Amino acid sequence: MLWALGVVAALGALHLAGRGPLAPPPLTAPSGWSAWLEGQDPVVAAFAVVRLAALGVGWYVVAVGVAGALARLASRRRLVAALDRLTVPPLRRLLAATVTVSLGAGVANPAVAAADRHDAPAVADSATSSTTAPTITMRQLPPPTEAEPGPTPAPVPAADDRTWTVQPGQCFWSIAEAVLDESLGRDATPSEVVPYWNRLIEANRGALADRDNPDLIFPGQVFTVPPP
Amino acid sequence: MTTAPARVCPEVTAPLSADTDGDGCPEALRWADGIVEAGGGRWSVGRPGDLVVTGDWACRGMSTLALLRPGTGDVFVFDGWASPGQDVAATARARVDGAFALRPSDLDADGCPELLVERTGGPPVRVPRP
Repeated sequence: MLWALGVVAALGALHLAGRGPLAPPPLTAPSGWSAWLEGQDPVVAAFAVVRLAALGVGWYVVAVGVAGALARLASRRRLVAALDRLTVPPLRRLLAATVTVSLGAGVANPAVAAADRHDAPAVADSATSSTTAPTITMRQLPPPTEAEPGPTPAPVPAADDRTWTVQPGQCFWSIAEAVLDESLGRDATPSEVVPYWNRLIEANRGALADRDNPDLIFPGQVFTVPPP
Repeated sequence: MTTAPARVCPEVTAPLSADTDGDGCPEALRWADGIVEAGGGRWSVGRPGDLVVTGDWACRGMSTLALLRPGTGDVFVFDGWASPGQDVAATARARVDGAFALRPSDLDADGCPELLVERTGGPPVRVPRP
Protein backbone atom coordinates (compact mmCIF):
# COMPACT_ATOMS: atom_id res chain seq x y z
CA MET A 1 0.00 0.00 0.00
CA LEU A 2 2.96 2.32 0.50
CA TRP A 3 3.40 2.75 -3.22
CA ALA A 4 -0.15 4.10 -3.52
CA LEU A 5 0.47 6.63 -0.76
CA GLY A 6 3.70 7.59 -2.49
CA VAL A 7 1.88 8.21 -5.77
CA VAL A 8 -0.75 10.36 -4.05
CA ALA A 9 1.93 12.36 -2.21
CA ALA A 10 3.90 12.88 -5.43
CA LEU A 11 0.78 14.07 -7.24
CA GLY A 12 0.08 16.55 -4.46
CA ALA A 13 3.62 17.88 -4.62
CA LEU A 14 3.44 18.20 -8.40
CA HIS A 15 0.19 20.12 -8.21
CA LEU A 16 1.64 22.47 -5.60
CA ALA A 17 4.71 23.02 -7.77
CA GLY A 18 2.43 24.16 -10.57
CA ARG A 19 1.38 27.18 -8.55
CA GLY A 20 4.86 28.68 -8.68
CA PRO A 21 7.32 29.22 -11.49
CA LEU A 22 6.51 25.79 -12.93
CA ALA A 23 3.00 26.88 -13.87
CA PRO A 24 1.95 25.17 -17.08
CA PRO A 25 1.22 26.85 -20.40
CA PRO A 26 -2.44 27.53 -21.23
CA LEU A 27 -3.31 23.96 -22.14
CA THR A 28 -6.66 24.78 -23.67
CA ALA A 29 -5.27 27.60 -25.86
CA PRO A 30 -2.47 26.31 -28.09
CA SER A 31 -2.07 29.76 -29.61
CA GLY A 32 -0.71 30.99 -26.30
CA TRP A 33 1.99 28.33 -25.98
CA SER A 34 4.65 30.22 -27.93
CA ALA A 35 4.05 33.37 -25.87
CA TRP A 36 4.30 31.29 -22.68
CA LEU A 37 7.57 29.72 -23.89
CA GLU A 38 9.11 33.10 -24.77
CA GLY A 39 8.34 34.41 -21.32
CA GLN A 40 10.07 31.52 -19.55
CA ASP A 41 13.63 30.69 -18.74
CA PRO A 42 14.42 27.60 -20.89
CA VAL A 43 15.34 25.49 -17.88
CA VAL A 44 12.17 26.46 -16.02
CA ALA A 45 10.12 25.77 -19.13
CA ALA A 46 11.68 22.31 -19.44
CA PHE A 47 10.89 21.50 -15.82
CA ALA A 48 7.33 22.75 -16.29
CA VAL A 49 6.90 20.33 -19.20
CA VAL A 50 8.44 17.50 -17.18
CA ARG A 51 6.02 18.31 -14.35
CA LEU A 52 3.10 18.06 -16.75
CA ALA A 53 4.33 14.70 -18.05
CA ALA A 54 4.80 13.42 -14.51
CA LEU A 55 1.29 14.54 -13.63
CA GLY A 56 -0.04 12.65 -16.63
CA VAL A 57 1.78 9.47 -15.60
CA GLY A 58 0.68 9.87 -11.99
CA TRP A 59 -2.99 10.26 -12.83
CA TYR A 60 -2.77 7.33 -15.25
CA VAL A 61 -1.39 5.19 -12.42
CA VAL A 62 -4.14 6.36 -10.07
CA ALA A 63 -6.88 5.79 -12.66
CA VAL A 64 -5.90 2.26 -13.64
CA GLY A 65 -4.98 1.42 -10.06
CA VAL A 66 -8.29 2.44 -8.56
CA ALA A 67 -10.32 0.96 -11.42
CA GLY A 68 -8.30 -2.28 -11.35
CA ALA A 69 -8.60 -2.65 -7.59
CA LEU A 70 -12.37 -2.07 -7.67
CA ALA A 71 -12.79 -4.51 -10.56
CA ARG A 72 -10.79 -7.15 -8.72
CA LEU A 73 -12.66 -6.66 -5.48
CA ALA A 74 -15.94 -6.98 -7.39
CA SER A 75 -14.56 -10.02 -9.27
CA ARG A 76 -15.47 -8.40 -12.61
CA ARG A 77 -13.33 -10.66 -14.72
CA ARG A 78 -13.87 -8.98 -18.12
CA LEU A 79 -13.26 -5.53 -16.68
CA VAL A 80 -10.07 -6.72 -15.00
CA ALA A 81 -8.85 -8.21 -18.27
CA ALA A 82 -9.65 -4.98 -20.16
CA LEU A 83 -7.91 -2.83 -17.55
CA ASP A 84 -4.93 -5.15 -17.50
CA ARG A 85 -4.50 -4.51 -21.20
CA LEU A 86 -4.25 -0.79 -20.43
CA THR A 87 -1.77 -1.33 -17.61
CA VAL A 88 1.96 -1.74 -17.97
CA PRO A 89 3.11 -5.14 -16.60
CA PRO A 90 5.08 -3.83 -13.57
CA LEU A 91 2.08 -1.79 -12.43
CA ARG A 92 -0.23 -4.75 -13.06
CA ARG A 93 1.88 -6.97 -10.81
CA LEU A 94 2.03 -4.28 -8.15
CA LEU A 95 -1.72 -3.85 -8.28
CA ALA A 96 -2.40 -7.58 -8.07
CA ALA A 97 -0.01 -7.92 -5.14
CA THR A 98 -1.67 -5.00 -3.35
CA VAL A 99 -5.15 -6.45 -3.73
CA THR A 100 -3.86 -9.87 -2.69
CA VAL A 101 -2.35 -8.46 0.48
CA SER A 102 -5.62 -6.66 1.24
CA LEU A 103 -7.59 -9.86 0.78
CA GLY A 104 -5.16 -11.84 2.89
CA ALA A 105 -5.58 -9.31 5.68
CA GLY A 106 -9.33 -9.79 5.54
CA VAL A 107 -9.90 -6.07 4.99
CA ALA A 108 -11.56 -5.86 1.63
CA ASN A 109 -13.31 -9.13 1.00
CA PRO A 110 -13.54 -11.46 3.97
CA ALA A 111 -15.34 -14.17 2.00
CA VAL A 112 -12.54 -14.54 -0.49
CA ALA A 113 -9.90 -14.18 2.18
CA ALA A 114 -11.47 -16.97 4.19
CA ALA A 115 -11.42 -19.24 1.17
CA ASP A 116 -7.72 -18.69 0.69
CA ARG A 117 -6.34 -17.61 4.01
CA HIS A 118 -2.59 -17.69 3.87
CA ASP A 119 0.18 -15.25 3.21
CA ALA A 120 0.64 -14.27 -0.39
CA PRO A 121 2.80 -17.05 -1.82
CA ALA A 122 6.27 -16.29 -2.97
CA VAL A 123 6.83 -16.18 -6.68
CA ALA A 124 8.56 -19.26 -8.05
CA ASP A 125 12.03 -18.89 -9.49
CA SER A 126 12.12 -18.96 -13.25
CA ALA A 127 13.37 -22.27 -14.62
CA THR A 128 16.72 -21.20 -16.00
CA SER A 129 17.81 -18.93 -18.78
CA SER A 130 15.55 -18.99 -21.80
CA THR A 131 18.20 -20.79 -23.82
CA THR A 132 18.57 -23.71 -21.42
CA ALA A 133 15.09 -24.04 -19.95
CA PRO A 134 13.53 -27.36 -20.96
CA THR A 135 10.69 -27.32 -23.44
CA ILE A 136 7.90 -29.79 -24.02
CA THR A 137 5.54 -29.99 -26.95
CA MET A 138 1.85 -30.74 -27.19
CA ARG A 139 0.71 -32.54 -30.32
CA GLN A 140 -2.79 -33.45 -31.34
CA LEU A 141 -3.20 -37.13 -32.13
CA PRO A 142 -5.67 -38.80 -34.44
CA PRO A 143 -8.78 -40.23 -32.75
CA PRO A 144 -8.26 -43.64 -31.18
CA THR A 145 -9.26 -46.70 -33.14
CA GLU A 146 -11.05 -49.70 -31.69
CA ALA A 147 -7.73 -51.47 -31.32
CA GLU A 148 -6.21 -48.46 -29.58
CA PRO A 149 -8.49 -47.33 -26.80
CA GLY A 150 -7.87 -44.01 -25.11
CA PRO A 151 -6.28 -43.68 -21.72
CA THR A 152 -8.26 -44.83 -18.73
CA PRO A 153 -7.02 -44.01 -15.27
CA ALA A 154 -7.77 -47.51 -14.03
CA PRO A 155 -7.55 -47.81 -10.24
CA VAL A 156 -6.12 -51.30 -10.37
CA PRO A 157 -4.45 -52.04 -13.68
CA ALA A 158 -3.77 -55.58 -14.77
CA ALA A 159 -0.30 -56.92 -14.22
CA ASP A 160 0.68 -56.61 -17.86
CA ASP A 161 -0.08 -52.88 -17.94
CA ARG A 162 2.99 -50.78 -18.28
CA THR A 163 1.92 -47.98 -15.98
CA TRP A 164 0.16 -47.53 -12.65
CA THR A 165 -1.83 -44.48 -11.57
CA VAL A 166 -1.37 -44.02 -7.83
CA GLN A 167 -4.56 -44.02 -5.80
CA PRO A 168 -4.99 -42.54 -2.32
CA GLY A 169 -3.41 -44.74 0.33
CA GLN A 170 -1.10 -46.58 -2.04
CA CYS A 171 2.66 -46.85 -1.67
CA PHE A 172 5.35 -48.63 -3.67
CA TRP A 173 5.04 -51.70 -1.45
CA SER A 174 1.28 -52.05 -1.98
CA ILE A 175 1.70 -51.48 -5.72
CA ALA A 176 4.45 -54.11 -5.92
CA GLU A 177 2.33 -56.51 -3.88
CA ALA A 178 -0.73 -55.99 -6.11
CA VAL A 179 1.25 -56.45 -9.31
CA LEU A 180 2.87 -59.65 -8.03
CA ASP A 181 -0.42 -61.04 -6.66
CA GLU A 182 -1.96 -60.55 -10.07
CA SER A 183 1.00 -62.09 -11.83
CA LEU A 184 1.31 -65.11 -9.53
CA GLY A 185 -2.40 -65.71 -9.10
CA ARG A 186 -1.93 -65.87 -5.33
CA ASP A 187 -0.73 -63.71 -2.48
CA ALA A 188 2.96 -62.94 -2.90
CA THR A 189 5.15 -63.54 0.12
CA PRO A 190 7.19 -60.67 1.57
CA SER A 191 10.42 -62.27 0.35
CA GLU A 192 8.96 -62.33 -3.17
CA VAL A 193 7.80 -58.74 -2.94
CA VAL A 194 11.08 -57.22 -1.71
CA PRO A 195 13.15 -57.62 -4.92
CA TYR A 196 10.29 -56.48 -7.14
CA TRP A 197 9.58 -53.56 -4.78
CA ASN A 198 13.21 -52.45 -5.20
CA ARG A 199 12.99 -52.78 -8.99
CA LEU A 200 9.75 -50.78 -9.03
CA ILE A 201 11.32 -47.95 -7.05
CA GLU A 202 14.42 -47.85 -9.24
CA ALA A 203 12.29 -47.82 -12.39
CA ASN A 204 10.49 -44.70 -11.14
CA ARG A 205 13.14 -42.85 -9.16
CA GLY A 206 13.32 -40.15 -11.80
CA ALA A 207 9.64 -39.35 -11.33
CA LEU A 208 9.83 -38.93 -7.56
CA ALA A 209 9.39 -35.54 -5.93
CA ASP A 210 12.36 -36.45 -3.75
CA ARG A 211 14.64 -38.99 -5.39
CA ASP A 212 15.83 -40.21 -2.01
CA ASN A 213 12.38 -40.64 -0.52
CA PRO A 214 10.29 -43.27 -2.33
CA ASP A 215 7.73 -43.04 0.47
CA LEU A 216 6.77 -39.61 -0.86
CA ILE A 217 4.36 -40.35 -3.71
CA PHE A 218 1.02 -38.78 -4.48
CA PRO A 219 -2.37 -39.80 -5.86
CA GLY A 220 -2.49 -39.20 -9.58
CA GLN A 221 1.18 -39.88 -10.24
CA VAL A 222 1.68 -42.38 -13.03
CA PHE A 223 4.52 -44.85 -12.57
CA THR A 224 6.13 -47.32 -14.88
CA VAL A 225 5.49 -50.94 -13.90
CA PRO A 226 8.34 -53.27 -14.92
CA PRO A 227 7.47 -56.86 -15.80
CA PRO A 228 7.32 -59.01 -12.61
CA MET B 1 -36.66 -6.90 -29.90
CA THR B 2 -35.68 -10.45 -29.15
CA THR B 3 -32.46 -11.68 -27.68
CA ALA B 4 -30.74 -14.94 -28.31
CA PRO B 5 -31.10 -17.40 -25.44
CA ALA B 6 -28.02 -17.65 -23.27
CA ARG B 7 -25.96 -20.70 -24.04
CA VAL B 8 -26.26 -23.33 -21.34
CA CYS B 9 -23.31 -25.64 -20.97
CA PRO B 10 -23.63 -29.06 -19.40
CA GLU B 11 -22.10 -29.21 -15.97
CA VAL B 12 -18.65 -30.75 -15.84
CA THR B 13 -17.70 -32.33 -12.55
CA ALA B 14 -14.41 -33.90 -13.65
CA PRO B 15 -11.32 -32.62 -11.84
CA LEU B 16 -9.82 -31.58 -15.19
CA SER B 17 -11.80 -29.62 -17.75
CA ALA B 18 -11.24 -27.17 -20.61
CA ASP B 19 -12.94 -25.95 -23.75
CA THR B 20 -10.68 -27.75 -26.19
CA ASP B 21 -12.97 -27.55 -29.23
CA GLY B 22 -13.84 -23.86 -28.96
CA ASP B 23 -17.60 -24.37 -28.64
CA GLY B 24 -17.75 -22.22 -25.52
CA CYS B 25 -18.38 -25.11 -23.16
CA PRO B 26 -15.76 -26.99 -21.16
CA GLU B 27 -15.21 -30.69 -21.72
CA ALA B 28 -13.99 -33.18 -19.13
CA LEU B 29 -10.36 -34.14 -19.58
CA ARG B 30 -8.71 -37.45 -18.88
CA TRP B 31 -4.97 -37.67 -18.44
CA ALA B 32 -2.80 -40.76 -18.34
CA ASP B 33 0.57 -41.85 -19.65
CA GLY B 34 1.31 -38.55 -21.34
CA ILE B 35 -1.99 -38.51 -23.24
CA VAL B 36 -4.78 -36.00 -22.68
CA GLU B 37 -8.21 -36.95 -23.95
CA ALA B 38 -11.19 -34.59 -24.09
CA GLY B 39 -14.34 -34.77 -26.17
CA GLY B 40 -13.20 -36.30 -29.42
CA GLY B 41 -9.63 -35.03 -29.23
CA ARG B 42 -6.40 -36.53 -27.99
CA TRP B 43 -3.11 -34.80 -27.33
CA SER B 44 0.33 -36.13 -26.61
CA VAL B 45 2.04 -34.09 -23.90
CA GLY B 46 4.53 -34.87 -21.16
CA ARG B 47 5.36 -38.34 -19.96
CA PRO B 48 4.40 -40.83 -17.24
CA GLY B 49 5.00 -39.38 -13.79
CA ASP B 50 4.04 -35.83 -14.83
CA LEU B 51 1.07 -34.12 -13.19
CA VAL B 52 -1.33 -31.80 -14.99
CA VAL B 53 -3.97 -29.25 -14.03
CA THR B 54 -6.16 -26.98 -16.14
CA GLY B 55 -7.03 -23.32 -15.68
CA ASP B 56 -7.30 -19.95 -17.37
CA TRP B 57 -3.73 -19.06 -16.42
CA ALA B 58 -3.46 -16.04 -18.73
CA CYS B 59 -6.98 -14.75 -17.85
CA ARG B 60 -8.03 -14.74 -21.50
CA GLY B 61 -11.19 -16.78 -21.11
CA MET B 62 -9.52 -20.04 -22.20
CA SER B 63 -8.42 -22.89 -19.96
CA THR B 64 -5.12 -24.44 -20.86
CA LEU B 65 -2.85 -27.09 -19.45
CA ALA B 66 -0.16 -26.65 -16.81
CA LEU B 67 2.21 -29.54 -16.23
CA LEU B 68 4.58 -30.39 -13.38
CA ARG B 69 7.49 -32.78 -13.77
CA PRO B 70 8.06 -33.82 -10.14
CA GLY B 71 11.49 -35.33 -10.83
CA THR B 72 12.93 -31.95 -11.82
CA GLY B 73 10.41 -29.49 -10.39
CA ASP B 74 9.93 -27.93 -13.83
CA VAL B 75 6.54 -26.28 -14.37
CA PHE B 76 5.24 -25.82 -17.91
CA VAL B 77 2.24 -23.69 -18.85
CA PHE B 78 0.71 -24.01 -22.31
CA ASP B 79 -0.78 -21.02 -24.14
CA GLY B 80 -3.37 -23.07 -26.00
CA TRP B 81 -4.28 -26.43 -27.45
CA ALA B 82 -2.48 -28.06 -30.34
CA SER B 83 -4.44 -28.56 -33.53
CA PRO B 84 -3.73 -30.99 -36.36
CA GLY B 85 -0.32 -30.10 -37.76
CA GLN B 86 0.06 -27.21 -35.34
CA ASP B 87 2.03 -28.25 -32.26
CA VAL B 88 2.19 -26.03 -29.19
CA ALA B 89 5.45 -25.79 -27.25
CA ALA B 90 5.88 -24.70 -23.65
CA THR B 91 9.14 -23.71 -22.03
CA ALA B 92 9.54 -24.36 -18.32
CA ARG B 93 8.10 -21.29 -16.59
CA ALA B 94 9.55 -22.16 -13.18
CA ARG B 95 11.65 -24.74 -11.38
CA VAL B 96 10.63 -25.56 -7.82
CA ASP B 97 12.68 -27.86 -5.62
CA GLY B 98 10.56 -30.53 -3.94
CA ALA B 99 7.51 -29.76 -6.08
CA PHE B 100 4.88 -32.46 -5.80
CA ALA B 101 1.57 -30.92 -6.94
CA LEU B 102 -0.03 -28.05 -8.82
CA ARG B 103 -3.04 -26.19 -7.49
CA PRO B 104 -5.15 -23.37 -8.97
CA SER B 105 -6.08 -20.57 -6.59
CA ASP B 106 -7.58 -17.17 -7.38
CA LEU B 107 -5.34 -15.18 -5.06
CA ASP B 108 -6.10 -11.72 -6.43
CA ALA B 109 -9.84 -12.37 -6.86
CA ASP B 110 -9.87 -11.35 -10.51
CA GLY B 111 -11.88 -14.41 -11.51
CA CYS B 112 -8.86 -16.21 -12.95
CA PRO B 113 -6.72 -18.71 -11.06
CA GLU B 114 -3.07 -18.28 -10.25
CA LEU B 115 -0.94 -21.40 -10.49
CA LEU B 116 0.47 -22.58 -7.16
CA VAL B 117 3.15 -25.20 -6.80
CA GLU B 118 3.01 -27.31 -3.65
CA ARG B 119 6.44 -28.33 -2.43
CA THR B 120 8.07 -30.21 0.38
CA GLY B 121 9.86 -28.17 3.00
CA GLY B 122 8.03 -24.90 2.46
CA PRO B 123 4.80 -23.10 1.63
CA PRO B 124 3.48 -23.18 -1.93
CA VAL B 125 4.96 -20.79 -4.44
CA ARG B 126 3.17 -18.95 -7.23
CA VAL B 127 4.10 -19.23 -10.88
CA PRO B 128 4.02 -15.71 -12.35
CA ARG B 129 1.64 -14.91 -15.17
CA PRO B 130 3.17 -14.27 -18.58
